[in-house]
Formats: sequence, C-alpha cells, structure tokens
Amino acid sequence: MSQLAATTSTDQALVISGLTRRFGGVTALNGVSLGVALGETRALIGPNGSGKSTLINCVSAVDRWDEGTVTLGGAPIKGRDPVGAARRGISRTFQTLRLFDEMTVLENVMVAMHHARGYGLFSAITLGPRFRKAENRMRHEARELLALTGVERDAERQAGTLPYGHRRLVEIARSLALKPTLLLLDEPAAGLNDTETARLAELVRRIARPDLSILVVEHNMEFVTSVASQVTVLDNGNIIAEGTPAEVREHPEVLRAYLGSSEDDK
Amino acid sequence: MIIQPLVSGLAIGGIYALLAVSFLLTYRVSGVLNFAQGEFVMVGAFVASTVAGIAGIPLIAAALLGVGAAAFAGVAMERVTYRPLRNKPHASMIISTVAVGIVLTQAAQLIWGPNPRTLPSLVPNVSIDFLGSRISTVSLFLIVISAVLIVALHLVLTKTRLGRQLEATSVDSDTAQLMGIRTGRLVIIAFAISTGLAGVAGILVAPMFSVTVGLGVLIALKAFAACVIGGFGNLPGAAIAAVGLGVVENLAGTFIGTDSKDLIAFGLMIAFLIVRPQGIFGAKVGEKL
Repeated sequence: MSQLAATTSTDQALVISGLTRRFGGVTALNGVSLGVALGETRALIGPNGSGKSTLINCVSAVDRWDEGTVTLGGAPIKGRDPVGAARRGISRTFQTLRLFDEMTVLENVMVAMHHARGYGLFSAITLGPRFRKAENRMRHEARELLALTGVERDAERQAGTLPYGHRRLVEIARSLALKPTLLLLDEPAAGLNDTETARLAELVRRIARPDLSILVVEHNMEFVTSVASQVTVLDNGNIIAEGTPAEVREHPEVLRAYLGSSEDDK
Repeated sequence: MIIQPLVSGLAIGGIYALLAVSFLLTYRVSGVLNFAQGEFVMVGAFVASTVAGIAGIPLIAAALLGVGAAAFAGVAMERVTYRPLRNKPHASMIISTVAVGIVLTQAAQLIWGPNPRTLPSLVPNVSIDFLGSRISTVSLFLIVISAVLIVALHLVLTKTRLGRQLEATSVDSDTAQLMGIRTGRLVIIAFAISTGLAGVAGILVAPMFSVTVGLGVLIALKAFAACVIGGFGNLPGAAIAAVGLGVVENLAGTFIGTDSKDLIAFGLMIAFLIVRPQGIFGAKVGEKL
C-alpha cells in the first residue's frame, strides 16, 4: 500500500510527513503523511490500535517520534515538548476527560490563556489597575467561550462535579482559550448520547474558522460526516484512504479494515 | 492573666502557620513533603545574623538578605535534588529532602561554628499595657507579619494567574503543560516562595531564641503537626490549625507546665492521624506522599 502524500501547499497549516513511531518491535505509525489546511476540518478514523492516538500524541508533542517531521505554519514542532506545542497554537482535548476537577469551570478555561497579557506580582498584590484589567478581560473571554459551548451557567461550579456531557463541552471551551491555530479533538463524542452528539457536531461546525484547522479523531461516522469535509483513514499505522466522507465510506480498503476488525462497530 | 500567654501563643502560632503554608506550597505543586523545610528557617536566620554583624548595614537589609538566601537555597535544592529525582519513586525524593536537611545543618555547623549567634528584632522590644496585661511589641510584630504574609499568599494563590497556574500544575502537571503552562518554572517559583517564607520565619523567631543550627527543627515539626491537624489539602485550614496549636501549647505551657507543650502538640498530631487523618478541614495525609 503506497502512502497518499499530502499536498503540500502554503495554505497547509499542519503538515505531517513520513511520521514513524515505534514502540519496541511494534510500528504504531509507519511513515504517515497528512496535511490539514487552514480552515479545514479533517477527520481521522480507523479501527482501534490503528495509530490515531499515537498520531495525536505526536502532533501535540506529548510523545516523540522516530522518523519524519511535523510542521505547523511551516515551522517544525519538536517532540516531547507539549508546552512549546501549546504556545505555538496546538490545542487538544482528551479521549478521557482531563479537566482540573478541583478548580472551577471558569478557572479551567482561564488557566489555558497563556497568551493573555500578564501583570506583575506587585500589581496583583496592590490590586493595581493592570491586574484588574487583565483579570477582568480573561474572565470575560472565558465566559464568552463558555457561552459559545453552552455551559456558561456552570462557570462557578467545580469542574469535577459537572455531568459528563458538560465536562466535554468545558474541555472544548478550554482548548479554544489557547487561541489555537490547530485544534485536535480526540474522540469528542465518546460517551455522549445521540442528542448530545448532534449538539456537539453543531458546535464543531460553529467553531470552525478560516484561520483554524481542526483534526478530529472519531469513531462515529455520522458525526464525522456532519463535521468533516475530508477524512483520512488509518489502519495498522498506514494511511489506507483519503477523501470525502462519502468516498471513504465506499473505499474497499476501508471496508476491509473495518469489517476485518471485530472491535469497532460504530 | 490569660492575655499574655494568649498573645505569645498567637505569635508562635503565626510562625508555625508561616511554615505550615510554606510546607503545603511545595507539597501541592511538587507532591513532595520537604523535610528540609526547618533548615531553611535556620539558613535565613544565620545569614541575617551574619550580615547584621557587619557595621553599617541596616537590620532590615540583613533580614531581606536572609530571606533571599533561604529562597536561593530552596531553588538550588529544586535544581540539584528535586528535578533529577522527580520521576523516581516518591520514597527516593522524600529521603533526598531529609538528606538535604542534614547537609544544610552540617554546612551551617562548618560555616558558623557551634556557638549560638544572636539576631536583634526588627522592632524594639517594649512591653505595652493591653487590658491590664503586659504584652511585648515583638509578639505583636510576629502576629502582624505572619498574618499579612499568609493572607497575601492565599490571595495570590486564589485570585491571580500565578495561583491558577500553580493549582493546575498541582492537580495535573501533564495537562497543565498542554495548556502552555511552563510547569518547571512554576515548581521553581513555588520552592523560592516556600523556602523564602521559611527564611522569614527564621528572622522573626530568632530574636526570641538564639540562632543555632537546630533553630528550625522543632518549628518545622510543629508546622507539620499543624498540617496534619488542619488537613494537607487546605492551606487556610493548616494556617488556622497552626495558630490554634501555638495558642493551645502556650496556654498549656503557662497553666500546666513548660514540659507539657510538645507533649500536647504531638499528642494531638498522633490523635488526628489515627482518628481523623483528613484533618479538620480536608484532604488525607499521604495521598500525594
């Protein structure tokens, strides 16, 4: 199976080329190349163990890789440097929720605003105008993001006490607080019911902007079809198909990969 | 009759509280109980007393240098022992803090020798009449400074960006990094503030005793007891417990006898560990140990 090389053009925000990641003798990613254009929402699908999570972990620089490059806006991303990746505009959510449960919803969102204008400790201790202005602005922006995702009424609650579906939405609000140029959504519909999934799809379409690339890893094909214009299919660490949701659904390799695996039924 | 021991109790309780919050600050961010915390009390006092002995240097400058030295020593400790060991088993890290304490004690012994030194108080020691009792200005000064510092620290931790970032780092450091938070830098800041506060405690408490290598040992143990009693997850709770402990042991010292002080403090700690390990206000000891 030959790789489907991503078309590298200037409007590609994220370019992954020849990405290989091995864990001992297992090759989790085998020379994967893929691009996400600015303004594009691309889905990454594939059976369990196909390498989707490894790919997300590489792009968000949680993990490192053995070969290949990841670039954002033309500049390379370094492996095992999540702080650097976040500060370059790569933001992600997690398959298993990872909110700061002990903090309020509002604080969860505010904590991700690393780009916000700071203030000195002196200004904070003396409650100076810079401190108040910066804090008020962050608070205001955080509330706007919570309103966008529809959980503004939970703002003052402890994140850990929220119902599951709400926590998913808070995580999306928090990931947007980074002002990302690339948003990685790791199985955002996992654990949601049909109504919640439909609402989430609507939200993902709403947050799409011309200056934001979204890469969404998801099992739910209905969800994928409703949010993504392009789909990349991974199987055993290789890209086996790429195209529109409709094209990918009919692709023989994809059918084989999915029917051949007993794990995935969605 | 009761006013005087009460005020002294509040003063020493304030010192315990300063050290208790300094304990918790690094404990929460790094997950490590720093058993060398008491030695930073001694470092601050020794450096201040040495600098104060040089002619022409004002006492306040000596005090600030002492605090700076304690903070600097804390950062050095973070660099040399905490950072290389942070992914190792927790036991290694805890043992390393004990070792750092011993190293600091021995180093101080070598530098400053066995003879106790003195450090004058930043305020003149005057007895003033208060509701018929004589209370000392030094005690009042201790109460005011520790209260101001603890309230300021609490506000920084709960109301500012630095506080949110420290909290996020203590809850989940990996996720905090993905939010663009430079967690390594925050751990350094936490160590600097924490050991700096221990240095402040040293400068405040030194005029009441004399400056020896063991100056901070008992204070740190009492602060630790206060954390157990107040609850490790709760900074204001530990501070309140520390003040309470200072008052209770001082009243006991006055009305029962000096020997009862430590007995009561550590008896309470043992009782809490057995009966209410989460402390009065919350989280259990050992969850992050």
